[in-house]
Amino acid sequence: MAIYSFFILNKNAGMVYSREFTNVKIESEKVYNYPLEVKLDKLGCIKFGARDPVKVGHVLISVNGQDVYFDKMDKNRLKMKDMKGAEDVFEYLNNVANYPVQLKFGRAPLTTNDKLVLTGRFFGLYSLAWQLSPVAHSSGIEQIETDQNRLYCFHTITGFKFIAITDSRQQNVENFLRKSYEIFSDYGLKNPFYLNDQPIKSDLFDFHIQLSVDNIDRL
Amino acid sequence: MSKTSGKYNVTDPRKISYELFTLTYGSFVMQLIKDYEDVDEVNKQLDTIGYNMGNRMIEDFLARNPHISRCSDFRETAEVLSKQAFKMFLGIQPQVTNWNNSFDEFSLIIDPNPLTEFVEFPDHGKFEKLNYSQIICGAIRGALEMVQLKVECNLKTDQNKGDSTYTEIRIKFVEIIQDAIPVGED
Repeated sequence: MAIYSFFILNKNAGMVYSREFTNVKIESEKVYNYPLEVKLDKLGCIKFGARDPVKVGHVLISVNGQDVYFDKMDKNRLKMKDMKGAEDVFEYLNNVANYPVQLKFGRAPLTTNDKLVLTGRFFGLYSLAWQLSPVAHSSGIEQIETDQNRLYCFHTITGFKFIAITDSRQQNVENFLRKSYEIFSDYGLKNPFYLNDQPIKSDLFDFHIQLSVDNIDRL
Repeated sequence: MSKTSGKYNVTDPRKISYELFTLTYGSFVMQLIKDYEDVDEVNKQLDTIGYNMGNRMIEDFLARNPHISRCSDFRETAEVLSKQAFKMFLGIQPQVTNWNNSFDEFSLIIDPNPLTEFVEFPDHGKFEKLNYSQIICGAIRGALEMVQLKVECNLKTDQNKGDSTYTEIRIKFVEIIQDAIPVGED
């Protein structure tokens, strides 16, 4: 049971805060022989040929324990860190002499830009749900359920949205979101140096959010 | 503003001493008067400061009073304002009176006003125009604006005017700010 991520949106669909709780990492490692059975696209994402525990859609994180990163010069090539001259990953994987190799794959982390796009879309869906409702005074989306996880949304009268994505067995999330509203009003808004509608970058705020995430079952 | 609360005499960390509060506010206003040297400008500044405070206080108020929902008429607003908001932030419950016929304008009588607990204005009329408690008006205006209620809020009487011993705040409904209503609220 866990909270995976937490977001705050303001009434203009701007993301004021986002936080991922890194205790849930989806990563898997496997040794491969030549020729490579998984088919990668040029971003290192598996398109086909994955077998458990590696899954389609995961991206290449490391080769033989060495992290890979995008080459700044040519954004579509992956390079290996700490190698002489930062070797190109795909050249390395095409060379029979390098096998067997140990590859680590994992869920691609969301970039800030991804988050902005996704939360913006959720904002649209929220208003869609509200407008489609045949009943007056209906709220927008409060929960989205999948077989693995749930998205909870708490909407305040002033237009803020507090969103948590959790494991589907996690209880007490509504209380957590209310609590986070209190934390937001305390450590976000009562900080005189915080500018309204700007992203929150406060250690105190982070700390108290983390605290209530850790104690979610006792809130 | 109570010093202690609860039967175990535990000091609430969210509350400060009444005297420290009124003292802070007093010296704060005096400093503004020194800096601006113009009573009208001081009134304006106090109102702006209150407005900025109100913008943020509303979130605190709503976060701690989750049962409060959007008001459907101004009488409800007045009720919540006096019975809950003032109670939470200043520890007092002002009286709601002097409604006009269309129920969109009322007065809040603050008696006694914690801000003016120790205040006595000099007789020589220099501070006649000073709205000492203008910050409360600003805060009300700022807070209500965040829930899309535009109001006019004025200090009608203050201790430095005439013989009145109480503070009267006149609040007038102007409009619902339609554009700013967040999606999902009607």
